[in-house]
Amino acid sequence: MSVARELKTFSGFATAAATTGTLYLYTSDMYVTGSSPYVPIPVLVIPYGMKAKIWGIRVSSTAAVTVQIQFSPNASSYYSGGTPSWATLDTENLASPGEIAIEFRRPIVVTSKYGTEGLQFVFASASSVQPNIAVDIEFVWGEVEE
Amino acid sequence: MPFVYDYGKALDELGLVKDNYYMAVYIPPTNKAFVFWVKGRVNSGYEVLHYGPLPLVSGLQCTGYTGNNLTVPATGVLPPANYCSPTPPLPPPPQLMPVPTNTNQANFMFYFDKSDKLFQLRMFIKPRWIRAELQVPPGVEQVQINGYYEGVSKPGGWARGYLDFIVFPGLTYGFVFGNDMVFGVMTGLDIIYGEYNVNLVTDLDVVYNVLTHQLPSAWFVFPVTHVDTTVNNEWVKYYGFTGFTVPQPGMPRSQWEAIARGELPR
Repeated sequence: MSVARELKTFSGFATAAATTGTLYLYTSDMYVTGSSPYVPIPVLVIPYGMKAKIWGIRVSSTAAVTVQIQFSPNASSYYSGGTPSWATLDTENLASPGEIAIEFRRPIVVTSKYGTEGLQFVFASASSVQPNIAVDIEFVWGEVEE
Repeated sequence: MPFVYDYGKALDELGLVKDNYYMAVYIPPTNKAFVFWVKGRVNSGYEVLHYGPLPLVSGLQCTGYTGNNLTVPATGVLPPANYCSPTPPLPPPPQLMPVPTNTNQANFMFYFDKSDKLFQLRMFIKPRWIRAELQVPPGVEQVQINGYYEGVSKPGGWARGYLDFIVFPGLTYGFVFGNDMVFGVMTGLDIIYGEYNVNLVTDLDVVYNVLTHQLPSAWFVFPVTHVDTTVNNEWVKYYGFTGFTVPQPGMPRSQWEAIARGELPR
């Protein structure tokens, strides 16, 4: 049995200041030219049979902001022009300008059973903001619970 | 290491065979094995090779998991939701050595044509979610489930981020790499390898004791589900035969020796 693990830090950024929005994800392994499909992604689809474990998240903003980690069972439909349905898994509140760093003692685990599941990160604020996040996601394949 | 087993501290901390130990290479589809004596490791002290990006050249045509076939946009980049077979499969990285004059070695940097040498490779592909398949020889799929050929082109599991295998003389191997993430990735490859000076062991006493794990040895499972004619021919060319039958538990030694004698080259 061979378990493959890859822990990646994704940065999430808003493309413009707004009161709500989706954060676009970028990581150091990502090939980005600025032309589709080589652009930062708003929706992270988890490959078939893999798990994504979210171990920690940092949120920074110049004003109070709420960041939600959202899950969709049909996230892959985003890339075929569809509209996935999202459910919130966790909410992080930055109560004032600055930064918070949260390490989860137990990770948020999302398993891709169909190959269509995925995550997105959205923000909301009372004022127009352009927040940044950094989220630590471990991709695991071959870890089977007995 | 899914295909390597250590019977008696024959492996070092890198997972390579120590000098002066025996190694058996088991061929599952034929239930045969070759036994080698590892006399020494040529690359002692520099077993870890940072290969660099996977040998995916810009413009290489890939196949999409969902039909969106893309080409490799830049050296070493796997397009999103696509899989590709590098051609040539594993050339020497240009920063490592000049292009070899031997075409086979230019295509597959671990190619060699001597019977007294073996390579053991452990390939670590980054990022680790990259799906990897070994083809022996290139173009011949070896991943199989109960008679059905599968591989990186299918949506199921298979190896991700890691391959390990033995390189036999006269053979080149092929690879398929797949990226089922929704973004293109810059890949990397690190290789832990042993370049061994070996002797093929044909002394039936030693062979029997290695195959029944009574002598300290390393046991490699050659990751093939069928033996291609090319592979069979090269074994015959370099070793004179296609391996010793592995004795079943309880088989009288005399019975096994009779079989093994018939398998030895005449």
